[in-house]
Amino acid sequence: MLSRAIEEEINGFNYYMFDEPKDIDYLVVSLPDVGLVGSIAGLHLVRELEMIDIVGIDSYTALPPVVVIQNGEPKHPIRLYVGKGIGVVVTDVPIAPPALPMFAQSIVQFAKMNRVKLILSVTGMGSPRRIEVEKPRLFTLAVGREAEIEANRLNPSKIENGILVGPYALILKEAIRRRMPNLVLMVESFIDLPDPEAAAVAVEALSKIAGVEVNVGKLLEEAEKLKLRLKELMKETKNVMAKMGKTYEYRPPLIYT
Amino acid sequence: MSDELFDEMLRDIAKTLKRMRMLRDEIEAYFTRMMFGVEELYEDRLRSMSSEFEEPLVEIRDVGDEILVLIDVSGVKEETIDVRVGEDTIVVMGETDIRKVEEALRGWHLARTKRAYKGVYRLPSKIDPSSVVVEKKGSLIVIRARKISS
Repeated sequence: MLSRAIEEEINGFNYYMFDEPKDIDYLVVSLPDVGLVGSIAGLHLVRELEMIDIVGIDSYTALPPVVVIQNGEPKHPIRLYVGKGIGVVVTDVPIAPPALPMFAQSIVQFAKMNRVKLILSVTGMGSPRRIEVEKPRLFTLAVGREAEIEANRLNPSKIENGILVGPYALILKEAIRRRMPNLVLMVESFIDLPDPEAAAVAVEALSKIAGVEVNVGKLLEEAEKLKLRLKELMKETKNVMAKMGKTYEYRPPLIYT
Repeated sequence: MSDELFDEMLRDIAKTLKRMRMLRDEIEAYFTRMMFGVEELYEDRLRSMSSEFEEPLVEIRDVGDEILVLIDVSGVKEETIDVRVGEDTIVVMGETDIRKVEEALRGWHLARTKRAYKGVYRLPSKIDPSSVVVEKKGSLIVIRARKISS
């Protein structure tokens, strides 16, 4: 399969297209980050909506030298899955901090080129009190009119001041620069532990935005299995988060009103 | 061709070569930085693969006058879990639930399964051992303890 693709280089990342990425209204970016909320939410969408991967994303210099094997078939470490007007970008490896700016530029440009209406970034918002919370709260950060409309529909908890660090901060800045609507969905979560319950809240929000039914029951039932599968990715992500100054998120910003 | 013109050409060539060398060094430094980050990511994984035990994931938080420790014991036989809390260290041990791990990791368990879990965690500040409260919530062991004020 890897040899039959059309190859296109976008900002240092190679996109191997096995099919034309068309009719993607919502591009969900689910990268490993706080509590692996984005990764788990993306994985669940792909499985529940039976999405298929049509684009492989790779870089020989910015990513570890890996090939992912799925059902005996070699795959690229970052992949775009599509179905029901949604695209989901998932990665099996955390992207090293020096490569993040290039990746953020690349993914926003890809969204622009393929007329995506809204980029949806999914992440956790680390809370030291998460263990006491039954249903984690959803927070949003919107850039662009489309993003604001969707954010209002979700009726999220208010976040007035704070600092966002990591890949989603870079994607947001690039989205502002390139006038691409971007909605960041942040769910209260554990920081260094995979959090399927928080991911379920994100999936509910995503299904509301995209207008598709996604059952989160299975995600909660299989929580322990998921934690076992994602253990190594969580360890690597913890390492990456420490390097990119993720602890900035846990201090208040300088200016407040 | 006069000597002056020839000298000027040589100077231009030397300048161009110098610029090319600088550019090459910059490119080399950029890729070295990038690959260094990637290599570091896998050091921990290689270390954990060579260890006899599987280390549970942990989250340690300093919350006011308390230390909160969350240890994920997914894949550990519940009846074998042993938690020991000292003044500044927590040790967790337990036997691997092979069936559970096989089910979750499918084919991958051949490379990943270890017969036992063990985690030794250093706390960010000393705690009062008499204040320790341990409970289990799902696959998490939750440990709360009061900090000893220094």
